[in-house]
Amino acid sequence: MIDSMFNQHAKWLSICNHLSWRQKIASLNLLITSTVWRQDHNGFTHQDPGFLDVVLNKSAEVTRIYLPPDANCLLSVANHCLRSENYINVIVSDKQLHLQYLNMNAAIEHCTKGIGIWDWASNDQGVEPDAVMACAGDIPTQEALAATVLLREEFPDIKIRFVNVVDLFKLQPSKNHPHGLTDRDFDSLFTADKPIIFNFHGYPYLIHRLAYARTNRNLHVRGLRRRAISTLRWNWP
Amino acid sequence: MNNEIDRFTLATDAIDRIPRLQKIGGQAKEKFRNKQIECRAYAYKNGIDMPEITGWRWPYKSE
Repeated sequence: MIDSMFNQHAKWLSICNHLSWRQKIASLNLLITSTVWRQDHNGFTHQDPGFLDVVLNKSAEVTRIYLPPDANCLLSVANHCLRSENYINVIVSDKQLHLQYLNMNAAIEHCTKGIGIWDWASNDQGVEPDAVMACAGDIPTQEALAATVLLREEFPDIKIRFVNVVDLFKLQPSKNHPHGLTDRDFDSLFTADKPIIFNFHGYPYLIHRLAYARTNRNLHVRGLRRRAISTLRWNWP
Repeated sequence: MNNEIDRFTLATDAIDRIPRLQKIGGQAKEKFRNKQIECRAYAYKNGIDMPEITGWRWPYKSE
């Protein structure tokens, strides 16, 4: 039901954008807080992050998807979305306690860019990385950071670049979405050929769908694959 | 771990895809696999995840 209401609203917005006499209206802001990754209490009813796939189908000029990795980023994203007009903004943020990674200024900077290298979590400064660890979403970000630590502890000379994505449409080429990165910018973040391990909140193929036309074909995405009943919190990721 | 977006799976993915780690990463992969088994066993036994998971923090100082 939400899917079809969203679809209809997106269509109206899209058409109205081309009618000069239509007054701008406040954006529709959808805050998704009961995420699929909280199987300890969200259980069987919340096991489909596929709404994002539906949003992706609609006109790029009116749709925006944000996955803030921590509370400061959520504040920054919400501040932007609540002031905006004529968009449908989807914000995905778990309502449970999470680690805080960025101070407010760093969060504003990161969310304004929508995607970026976390320098403090990377150790490839000045050299080519062995791999790029990328992520979108709060729980996927925490696991990606922890994986980075495991690798650096096991292999002290390994160079890993850490990239976090807040604004999902940054992954799409700039010709397909107004927020999309140019190919040059995408390549400087993700490299042209190093392996990218991408940990994602939703279904993995959504990332492949966004990034399929990019230079780097060495993209490996993890995301929701299975269904189950309620289980333990960490057992589920 | 059921959906393989956990830290041990991601680290294993990286070993499988970084050419020079493919040759030397066998021990580490085994270690990560053992940790997964340990974490799952702890969670089923105690109904809560291991403290090293729930209390995890980024360990390095930023410059």
